[in-house]
Amino acid sequence: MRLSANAVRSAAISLGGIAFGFVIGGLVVAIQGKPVGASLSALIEGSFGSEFAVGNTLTKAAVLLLVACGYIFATKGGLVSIGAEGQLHVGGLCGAAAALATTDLPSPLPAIIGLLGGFVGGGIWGAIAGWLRAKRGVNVVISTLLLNYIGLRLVEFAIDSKSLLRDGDAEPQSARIAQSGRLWRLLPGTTSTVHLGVILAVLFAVAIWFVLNRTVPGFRVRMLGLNPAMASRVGVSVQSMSVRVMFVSGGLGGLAGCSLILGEQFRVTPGYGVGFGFAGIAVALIARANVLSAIPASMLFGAILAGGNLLEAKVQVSNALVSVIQGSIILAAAGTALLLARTTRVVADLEEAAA
Amino acid sequence: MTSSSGVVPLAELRNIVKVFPGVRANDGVSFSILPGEVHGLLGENGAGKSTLMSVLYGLYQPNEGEILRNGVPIVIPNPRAALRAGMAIVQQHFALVPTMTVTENVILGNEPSRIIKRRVLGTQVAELSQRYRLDLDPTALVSTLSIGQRQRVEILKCLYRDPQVVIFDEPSTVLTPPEIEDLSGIIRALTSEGRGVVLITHKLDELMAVTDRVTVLRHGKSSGTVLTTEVDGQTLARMMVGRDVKLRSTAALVGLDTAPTLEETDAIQRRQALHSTGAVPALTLYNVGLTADGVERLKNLNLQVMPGEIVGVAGVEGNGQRELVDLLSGTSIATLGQVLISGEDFTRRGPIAFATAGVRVVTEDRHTTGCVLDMTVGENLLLDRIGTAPYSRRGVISQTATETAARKLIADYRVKTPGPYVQIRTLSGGNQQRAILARELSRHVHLLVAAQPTRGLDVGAIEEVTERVLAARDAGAAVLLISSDLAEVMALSDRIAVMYRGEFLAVLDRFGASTERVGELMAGLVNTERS
Repeated sequence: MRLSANAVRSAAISLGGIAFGFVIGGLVVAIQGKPVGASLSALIEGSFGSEFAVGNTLTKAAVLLLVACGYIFATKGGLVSIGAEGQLHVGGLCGAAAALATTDLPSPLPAIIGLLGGFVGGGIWGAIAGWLRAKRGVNVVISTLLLNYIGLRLVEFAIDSKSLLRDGDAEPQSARIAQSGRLWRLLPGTTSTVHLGVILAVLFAVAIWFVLNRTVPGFRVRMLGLNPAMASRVGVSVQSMSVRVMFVSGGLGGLAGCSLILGEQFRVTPGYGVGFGFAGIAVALIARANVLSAIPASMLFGAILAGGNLLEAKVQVSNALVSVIQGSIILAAAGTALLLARTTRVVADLEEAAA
Repeated sequence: MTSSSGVVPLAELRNIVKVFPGVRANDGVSFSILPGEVHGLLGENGAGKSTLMSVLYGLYQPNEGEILRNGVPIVIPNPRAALRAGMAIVQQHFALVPTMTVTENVILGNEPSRIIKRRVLGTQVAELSQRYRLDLDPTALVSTLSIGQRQRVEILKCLYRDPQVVIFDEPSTVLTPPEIEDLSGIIRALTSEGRGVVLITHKLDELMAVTDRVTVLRHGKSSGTVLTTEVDGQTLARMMVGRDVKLRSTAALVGLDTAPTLEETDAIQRRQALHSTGAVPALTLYNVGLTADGVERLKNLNLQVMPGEIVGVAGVEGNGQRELVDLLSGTSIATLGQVLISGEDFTRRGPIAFATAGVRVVTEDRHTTGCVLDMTVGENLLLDRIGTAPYSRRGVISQTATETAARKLIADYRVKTPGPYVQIRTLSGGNQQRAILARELSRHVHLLVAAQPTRGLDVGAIEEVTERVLAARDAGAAVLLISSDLAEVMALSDRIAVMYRGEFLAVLDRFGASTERVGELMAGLVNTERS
């Protein structure tokens, strides 16, 4: 009874936030004197209007979903990591390096090795923050935020140095990843770019749900997040667990980077995935830290991102509208949630005082 | 229930009804305070005492009923209005600024003018302190004061506003026995000036000692108002609980005086003789010390607990009990000395080693170290064993095995819950404690460390918890019972260690320990030797 009431309330908050975001977006368009209806249809056409558009929506959603899963996993362990941006870039870089280094191996191997490399690379980037927290008590919000900047610079450094990944003298970028290192196209022969990363992302979301809710390690992660003192009393090492949680969280961010590089872009360029890390966190917030809800939430945000491209072309509305809508959604959903949490706490206090 | 003598009550509550979602906290309760009287308000936890006083104090608005002040109906919209109407409350939880002086704390929120005349105010505060024998230095920083002194600052804060009605909310819970004596003196000084005092408590002995009348609440309803001189403790206990109190130890807890029977004396002596049998103690502390952050938290602890005996650790909270429990849970490590479990050195072992050796710990703070509030009842029952078969295999939790086990524990330990899948946060304190005991006692118990196991529970739950602890002892477990409730320690222990500022001031034989002696030791008075 109680649980389902909570679920209903959660869904209401998310949906209400989404509606609010679109209303605000519409207002902004109207204030500019642009047609609201045409803008909306441009947005929808850009995200679902064609084979290509749907593919674009899905591949963007996959990246966001992986990032959201990583964020949620860390949150369940009590760690607020905003480091997906850095983990994604470092992970994609490592994935590319691994795939390029093994490019001569038989076909699916370079792609698999690339994914592994991306997971480990992003994982290490996350684990650094976990380690700093465990050893030095550094706040994870701050360390992950700063590691974002270092990660982006690291990517630039790697593709600017001939001894590392730089290919040729023209622009700073890596070599192109050969067919053997790419994630399979799911609909070859069509204009759709949808690739294996989409399926991987959904599989990982389900797997993370399973780990958190049905396994002993996931139980310990949740215990760590909800009550570290109790967790250490039953033998969970808070320090090493924090590092491990951040490794997995960062690894998922790294896979998101691989989905971009090995699935769509095929070479590393400066800032190749900027914005995805933070948008993915937004997806996690709108999904109210539930990995399964993150699947539809990532679809929605993927669609908004994909559709934004047509806004400018069709109705001369700035692509920045996309950020306005996203921001309003988060603000409404997170704000309402906070407000509700506060009022329910007051009610709970009253009940406790009365009981 | 107004007095028949025709005196107009200072304050009166008539037929108060206060409803919270799902509970009628007050259901038609009437209560009056006469000039110069101490009116006791007695009831178990959750009987509605605090709610009733919160209505009088303006914190809650009643759903029905009226409030009269000097016979005139009034509305009290908030605590400030209550203060203006001459009613003040000494809260159970202090609201003091530790970095300010006594005087500053007293005038805080009630500054007479924008410019603070420190010297004048200091003199005023000093006078008040003297008049009521509160014995406080107005210039002392609150952070340097003992708990008892801090409570007196709270009292001073009230008196500074010159109230006609003073409410004391469970004032004795944080005090040592000598401090409780002093408090009675202060209360009498207040009533001698014609003020009315309300004393909220669940301790019968305190009520019998200082009150003129007593109103007993049970399940939100009044079970009657009586003159203290016309009742005895047994009657009040029955009015409070609704039946006779079962256990001698529980009777002691609610403040009924009880002496051990001959049989019990025999049993205690038998258990004390365990020490001369040469058996291996379940727990040995050998010169144990703990220094953390440069502060000596524990020092020179020496103690042995034999299987089958209860050793009580008496002491006012905050004298090292928490640190001792942490040592015995394996979550902190002694910086000096040795901790032995069954003769084996466990000084540097972790929580898993302690748990494997059969050390079960019921911590004093069940919300932070007893359970995970946002997990379900079932998860909390199995926290410590979820990683073992049959609860999980290869890391995957078995839904059927965990549910079966949880349901069995819920039934065996009579945890009142809609089922294993609700958050433990939603249960009452007593049921949370039952769940914690279920977890800790349902595996082999070699040593039970129970800290404040009955705090905040109603009599029914206290009796159950106590029976569980006694059953564990009878099954051969060694029990270390840590409690700030002297009556509880005296009633259950075979031997008593008194803890003060991280030390055992004495380890006494149950028969060599009088309540007075232990009380003095709890207050740190070592040198007032009397026979």
